[in-house]
Amino acid sequence: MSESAAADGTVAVDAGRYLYCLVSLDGAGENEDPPRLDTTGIEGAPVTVVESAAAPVGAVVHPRREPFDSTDLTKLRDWLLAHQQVVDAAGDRFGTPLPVRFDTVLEGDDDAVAAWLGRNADQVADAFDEVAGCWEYRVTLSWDSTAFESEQRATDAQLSAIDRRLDQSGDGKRFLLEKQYDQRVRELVRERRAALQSDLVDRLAEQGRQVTERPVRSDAAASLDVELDDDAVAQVALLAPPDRESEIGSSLDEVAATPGVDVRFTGPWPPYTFTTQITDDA
Amino acid sequence: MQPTRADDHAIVELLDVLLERGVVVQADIVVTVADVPLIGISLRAAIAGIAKMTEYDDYAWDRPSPG
Repeated sequence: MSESAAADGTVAVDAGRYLYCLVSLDGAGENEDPPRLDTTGIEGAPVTVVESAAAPVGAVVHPRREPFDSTDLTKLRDWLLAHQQVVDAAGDRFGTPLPVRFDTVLEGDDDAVAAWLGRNADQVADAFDEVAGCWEYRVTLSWDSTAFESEQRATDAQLSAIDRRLDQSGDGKRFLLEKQYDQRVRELVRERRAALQSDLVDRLAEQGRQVTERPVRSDAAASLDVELDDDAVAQVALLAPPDRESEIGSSLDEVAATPGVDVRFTGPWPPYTFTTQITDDA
Repeated sequence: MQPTRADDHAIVELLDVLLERGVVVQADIVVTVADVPLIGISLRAAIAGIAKMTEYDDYAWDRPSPG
């Protein structure tokens, strides 16, 4: 790779293309030569669609010699949102895109990008088959266990038994019994959380083509100081056709009717979660 | 309920997803930052700060469904 290392460790190539997403040119764009996208990219960069000669697919790009990197938060946010807006525009124009991870820069000019698309035409076609006609929806289920815990304190046989023994015990024994009591409450809460989680996944699996659970706290989200996260039970991504939105919404209304449960339903998004790698060696 | 893209939490979630998900390109022609592929470390570290920024009014997030 012909690149020069700058003092701060970044590299810049002589020519490169920032890659937003891949689009299928099998439909909307096929009568237009070359296919165009009326939007601007990160920092107002001119966005073009590079067509593959080997298959009816294109790459949405702008010229860029190095990856984006900055500690300026406003800048970072603007880059991320601009990236997303280009992917949105591509989705509006060409149907479900294959969104590429933020900050992917390929070395070379449009021809190099077209050659890369051609080398990987089969993988790209398979990836489009996976998501065709579908979009990503994300569901977060949060649960405030307070009411459930009160109910269990009143109704659970094991807790009642520990309670009775507590009344008849001295200080030393009480300490152990109180510990047992708390453990039992935590166990009941854990079981309930698992049941809520699997019920949600089962419901969504019925509605969509693919369902994936995300960790409730990703590495990046772990640093977020968002109160809701403490009660988060499940984060699920669903790949589904948009005409299923109202059925999915109705099913989630039923879930949200459970006391203490809060459901957030977002989308439609490009299928970020349902795409994998495009590897030259594959 | 209907899906939304408009609330602040959806945007926080989106920024998180943008940094962690999407097609990963493995090829000799991918340009990296100081041998850390794709994403500068500062980007990841900065997401908590991004999440606290609430001035998203310039962005039209609430979009009609496709199809």
